[in-house]
Amino acid sequence: MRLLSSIKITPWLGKHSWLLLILWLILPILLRNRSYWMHILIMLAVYVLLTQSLNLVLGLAGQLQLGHAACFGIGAYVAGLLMVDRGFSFWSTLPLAFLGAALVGILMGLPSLRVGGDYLGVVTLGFGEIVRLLLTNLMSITRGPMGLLNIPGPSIGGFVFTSKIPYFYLATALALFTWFVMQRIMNSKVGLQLMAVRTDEQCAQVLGVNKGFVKLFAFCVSAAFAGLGGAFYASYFSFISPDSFLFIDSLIVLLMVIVGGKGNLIGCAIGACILGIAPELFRFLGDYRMLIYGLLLTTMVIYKPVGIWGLDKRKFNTIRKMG
Amino acid sequence: MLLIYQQLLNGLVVGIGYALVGLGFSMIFGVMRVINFAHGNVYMVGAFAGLTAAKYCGGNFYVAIVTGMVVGALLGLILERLVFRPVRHMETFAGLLTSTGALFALGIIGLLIWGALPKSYDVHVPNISWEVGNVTIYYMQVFMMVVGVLVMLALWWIVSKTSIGIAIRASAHSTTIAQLMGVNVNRVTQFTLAISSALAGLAGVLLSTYYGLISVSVGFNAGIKAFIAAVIGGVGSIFGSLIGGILLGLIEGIASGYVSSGYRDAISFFILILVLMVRPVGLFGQAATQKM
Repeated sequence: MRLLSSIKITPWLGKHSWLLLILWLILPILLRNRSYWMHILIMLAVYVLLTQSLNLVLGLAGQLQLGHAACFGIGAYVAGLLMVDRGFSFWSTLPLAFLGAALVGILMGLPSLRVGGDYLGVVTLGFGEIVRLLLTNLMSITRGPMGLLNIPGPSIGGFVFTSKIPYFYLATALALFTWFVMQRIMNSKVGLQLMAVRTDEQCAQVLGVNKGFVKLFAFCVSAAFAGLGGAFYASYFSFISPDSFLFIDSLIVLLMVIVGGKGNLIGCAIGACILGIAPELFRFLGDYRMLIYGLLLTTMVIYKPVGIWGLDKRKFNTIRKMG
Repeated sequence: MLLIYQQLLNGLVVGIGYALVGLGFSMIFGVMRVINFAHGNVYMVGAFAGLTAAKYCGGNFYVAIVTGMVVGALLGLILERLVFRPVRHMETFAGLLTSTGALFALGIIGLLIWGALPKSYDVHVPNISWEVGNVTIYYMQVFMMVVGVLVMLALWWIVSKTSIGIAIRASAHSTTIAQLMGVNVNRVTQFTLAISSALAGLAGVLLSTYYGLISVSVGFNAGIKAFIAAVIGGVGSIFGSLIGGILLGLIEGIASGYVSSGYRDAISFFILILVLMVRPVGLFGQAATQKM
């Protein structure tokens, strides 16, 4: 990072961030639709979406959420079941997956009104495990551990998504939408209130912040966007099973946020990209990869708790002149 | 209906195992205000180390127990130095995250040494059993109950009568004030981690012998069960952990006997959430709420 800032490339990129976006959008052309790399890019977009949404709870509200994969899974199952059993189209399941995950998010956030800190982490973990066990055991609805097969892909008019390119743009659109909404929330009144709650709950309450409401809001919106990602995931893979949404997946997203920098949306995207690509590059390491994840998590928290591109790099809200 | 007493006895014995793990959890939280996620994998590594050592001694049960405890204690010391001491002054969930990293690392180390397949836990336990009414009581069950109660008594004695125990209680109350009074807090955390991890190793050997089976993936679940036991009983209370573990074991025994074994874990998580929502201090806890 020191090298980068010494050659003044980061401020330049900060001003011209649209260049990065254009580079991302023409990547499929550069890669000439190589299936393997396209798949990684699509997963990166999904990870960016997940980190952006987790950041609302973890980075902004400062609440430990270890069940993010469950919200993602609920979105995937709502969308998948509606498409397979009821013949819904992909586009009509998107808002329903959004709402379904939002409901689960509210349920998951309810304990945060009473417990905090480490305890909340374990409660959300337990909640995620309950969701997974329900998905596994409610055989008559979810088909249990065998998973849900043959989920149809989306289509626009007569154009059915078959190759990876339309999926890539769809995932990018969803991730950018999430990023945009999160950016708006961060700069809004609720965003400031969330940051106040993170810094000092009692002080925030004294200043008139409705602590319960903003916490539930964070959990709800964060889960809803994860659900959106889940709906995309279901139709992209056309197969989901309870094993796709494990505690370990929640942890990987959490690790991305922490490595990238919690509380900073750009940092989250950086974390998602680094930890999304790294496992592919280090595929030859096999099982040792999880060892590296573990060591990385521990060393990051000890030596650089703010992350690579953390809150210290964030431009704080400036008061605009009225009228 | 005849089976219920047998189920209850089995639940009681498993519950004592949970209580031993939960006790370590509870002590670490009491002193350092940190949830040690790696605790479950200390249990796993302790159990495997015991099995390996027993193999060289013709499957001697007591060798397995001693090895499990020693390896557990050593792991505890390593974890204290590498994972907990650096984050002692950091924000609330730093310790939870670093110990999650340690959970992964230990899990992979276990996987590399002992492989992914479940192994039968071959140690020789005297195959004696008694019939009381319709219930069969095995030697192993009696052994676990006796060990559980003895460990609780020993721990209670250490915490309330010895000087290191007083130092532990002082640090649990306030690390800063304890330091001002001349308590070497590093020594206290080392001692706490060593004792609790040794208990995890002990529980690992006992429960694995009882189940007759061990695999690398048991660690995470054991850690969670221990946490639930500690929360039910009240974090920071020795007696509470014992009761919490036994209650959890009984509830699980009944749930898997009468509801469905698929929902067993879901029910224990549900109980965890319920206890935290309704009575966060647990049954016998006192000061756990102020930190929430």
